[in-house]
Amino acid sequence: MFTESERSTTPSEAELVDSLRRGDEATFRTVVNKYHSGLVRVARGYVPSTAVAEEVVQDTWLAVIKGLDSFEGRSSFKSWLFRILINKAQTRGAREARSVPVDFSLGVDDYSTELTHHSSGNRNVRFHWRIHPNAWSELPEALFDEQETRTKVEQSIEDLPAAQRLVITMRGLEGLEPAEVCDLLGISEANQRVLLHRARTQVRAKLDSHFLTSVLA
Amino acid sequence: MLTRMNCKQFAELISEYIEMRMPKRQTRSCDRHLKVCIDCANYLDQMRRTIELTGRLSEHDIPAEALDELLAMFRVALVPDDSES
Repeated sequence: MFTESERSTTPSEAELVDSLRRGDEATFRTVVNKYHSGLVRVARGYVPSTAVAEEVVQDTWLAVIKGLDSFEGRSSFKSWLFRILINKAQTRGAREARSVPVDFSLGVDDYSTELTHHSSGNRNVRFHWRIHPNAWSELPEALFDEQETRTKVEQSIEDLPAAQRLVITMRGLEGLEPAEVCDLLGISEANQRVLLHRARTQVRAKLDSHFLTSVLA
Repeated sequence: MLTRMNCKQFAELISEYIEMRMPKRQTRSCDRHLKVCIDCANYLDQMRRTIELTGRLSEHDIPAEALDELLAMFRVALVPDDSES
């Protein structure tokens, strides 16, 4: 088993796949544990409950076990894994009465509430912060490590619209490359960028109010 | 002459700036803006920390029964069976 700090030095993907094919149980256990949370979060974007998402993830692992021999390494293992997951989640989501297809379309302006513009003397329109962003650098460092803060981040991600949740999970947590995320979700690079940006912006805003209340408390 | 970057432009580019996924020229414009704008510098710090925090969420373990089921399947499918050799 790899501990948290050893994660960045996990064996290369080729070695990992080899080791799985040889039937190395410890590797399998590690891989399952490593990706479980992320897979559930992504699946959750397509199906109506965490319980159903867990089932989709379970089906995904079964498909991985059966499909290891056909994995050709043309994409990363991670990308392949998420591809299987998304296919299963989409199929399952379509079957669930309550589920709605993920909406990847973009609305308007991100900063309309935070930034204001005023016409200065010349014809240029300048944009300034309506509310000055708080200096997080002045907050006690311990605040960032608190369990409460982590819970807040998790909740904020949970509350995001599905498309944003998918992108921030895949990019932020699982470290998939932008191109991989676009490919897996079937969205454009620009779309991916905006969704990620909006997701981060919203999590930031929720953290900010959380910090404010914690400090004032 | 280059027009100066404003806060809105900076805010919209912030993810690319943090991930260094932008042309050098644009990076320089951002750097210049940050030198004169404390609000955006604070905002940048907030976004950096947010990204850092979203990158290390607590992991939920797979339920024990689910893992056991998978391990059983894994053994059947992939673990070499000595009795067959």
